[in-house]
Formats: sequence, structure tokens, C-alpha cells
Amino acid sequence: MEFAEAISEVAQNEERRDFDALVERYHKQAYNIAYRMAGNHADAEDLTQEAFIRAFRFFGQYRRELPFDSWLYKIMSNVFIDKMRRKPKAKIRSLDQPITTEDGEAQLDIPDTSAGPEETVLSKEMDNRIQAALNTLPEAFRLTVIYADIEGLSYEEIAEATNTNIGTVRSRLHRGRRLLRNKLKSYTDLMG
Amino acid sequence: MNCRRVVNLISAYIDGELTGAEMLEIRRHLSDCPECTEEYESIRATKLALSRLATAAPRPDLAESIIRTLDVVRVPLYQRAINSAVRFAHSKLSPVAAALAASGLALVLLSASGIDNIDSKPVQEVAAVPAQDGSFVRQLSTGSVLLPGDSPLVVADPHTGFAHPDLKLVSLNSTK
Repeated sequence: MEFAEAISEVAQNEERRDFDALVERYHKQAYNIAYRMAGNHADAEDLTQEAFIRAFRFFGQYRRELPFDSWLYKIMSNVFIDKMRRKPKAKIRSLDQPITTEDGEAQLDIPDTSAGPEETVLSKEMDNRIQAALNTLPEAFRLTVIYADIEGLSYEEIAEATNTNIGTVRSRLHRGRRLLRNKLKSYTDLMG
Repeated sequence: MNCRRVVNLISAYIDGELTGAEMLEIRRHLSDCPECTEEYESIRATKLALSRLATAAPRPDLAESIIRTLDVVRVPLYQRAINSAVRFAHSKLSPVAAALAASGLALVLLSASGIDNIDSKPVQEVAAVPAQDGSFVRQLSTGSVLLPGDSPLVVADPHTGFAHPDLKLVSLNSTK
């Protein structure tokens, strides 16, 4: 009995070492996606951490012959959707839609804290605008667009990560990109 | 192919996710249709802008912090048994058979392991989460199911065979 327990402990320690190595290797990639999903650093950190904890709990089911990041994406998608469902509903508004205040109507102004050469400022501003626009997309569209255009996954891989089929991926991507395009149109026109 | 159809397929065209014949048809249509070409250019520009977003970097000690957190994460015995069974089943069975086997084991383990804080409910039907195509795995038609108080019942994904806590029960009709 003691021998069996010792063997089991060795196996668990080995599994833990393997998992720690995967955390080291993939946490930056996971964080980048989490940031684009969540739209801010605090939530991105929570999302990344929770995804790795959940992955750890189910690590025994992970099939080693498959890429770990694909498996992690699937878990991240679930964690993200769960978190969004638990979150109080935020009112979604267009970036161009005026805000009604006591003093009348005002335009939404996305803060830009960047400084430095003009190109950096413009690039940072564009980044903020795109992120703000991404935040307004419905979660399923946002996930699909992030996996396709930021991570460069194929439709098949996105379908696997979001637990759906290729037809749905195609439709979500089409609608998600069009929504984004419409929100960013005035800005990109301005930029030439 | 008409404009409406072309616009619906434009994203997949940009991604090269259409059949060869569809790709050719759309290319031909775009060469004659300025409106669809404008749609194509704007969606392509949107994709390009997204792909150029800067990579968001975490704080330098995030990995270390996650690893420290894992030190206090306990994987329950029943979960370890399910994990091992799923892995074994994947190596020996088809994905659907593996899913069914894992689900069965989950129910047996949950009912036999004496886990604290369990709520037992008689049910008429318990079903796993449906896939987008409407299919789902039926876990139990009549009888009783044991629900652990601090974690959801483990059910299996019919596509991957993973026993996974994110798959929620969609119906739990009490017989009484």
C-alpha cells in the first residue's frame, strides 16, 4: 500500500513539474488573448490565472499528442464566457453615440495616455480605439474575432476552441468584423 | 453569385476558407462590382488592423504567481480518477464512446465515493449541454443523480469526450 502511494506521489510530482513548465511557456500568449477578451489588465490577469487553475484540475485529461495551447484556448473560452455571465450586465453603447448628462449631451472620449514620437502616439491611439470597439462586441463574436485575427487560428481550430461548428464560426466572424468595421470606420477614414 | 451572397462570404474569402470554386466565383464577381470590392477592402483593412495590435504583456512575475497559487489547489480524488479514465478511454475508444464511458464513471464515482456535502435528487431526465447542432448526450433517463454541493456534476462533451465541469445540466426534472 505504501509503495503504491509512493508511486502515485512520484507521478503527481512529475505531472506538476510538467504543468509548471507549461505555465512558464504559455502564460504570455494566454495573457495577450485574455487582455483582448477582457479589455483591461486586472481582468486579464484573473482570466489567465483561472484558466491555468482549471487546466491544472483537468490536466489528467489533456492528451499529450495534441497542442497544449489549443486545449488552453478551449478552457479560456469557457472561463471567459462564465465570467461574463456572472458579471453584472454592462450597457453596450456605440463609440459614436453621445452620452446624456445633466449638462446635456457629450461625446465619448477614449483617453490616450501615450507619449513620444507621433507614430507611437497614433499607433497607441489606434490600439485603444480597436480595443474599445472589441469590448462592445457580443462575447461570442469577440472570441471568434480574437482567435481569427489576433491569434491567426483556422476556422476549424476556432470551432474547437469555442465548442461550436465551422458554419457558426464563419457567421460570427463575418458579423463580428462588420460590427468592428462600422465602429472603426470614421476613425480609419480620418487616418486615411 | 449575387452581391448578397458575396458579401456574406467575404470574410471567409479573405481567410481563404472557401472551396476553390467559391474563391474563383467571388474573385470574378469582385472584378466587376465596385460595391462588393469596397466591402472587401474595408473588411480586409479591419482584419489587418486587428492583426497589428500590440502584444499585451503581463507583469513579469505572473507565471510565478500562478505556480504559487497551484500549490494550494487540490484536485479531488474523484476528479483524478475521472481524468485517468478519460485518458485511458481516449487511447482505447472512439471519442463518443470515451465520453459516455467517462460520464458513467463520473456518476458511479460521485455516488460511491462518499463525498461530503452532496445533494441527492430524484430525476426524470438529465442531459448534458447541447452542441450547436442540437445534439447532446443523455446521461440518465430516470433514477437519481448525486450533485456535489461545491462543484458541478461532471458531464462529458460529446465532441471531444472530455469530462468537463463547464458542461452544465440543461434539465433536471424532479420526479417529486
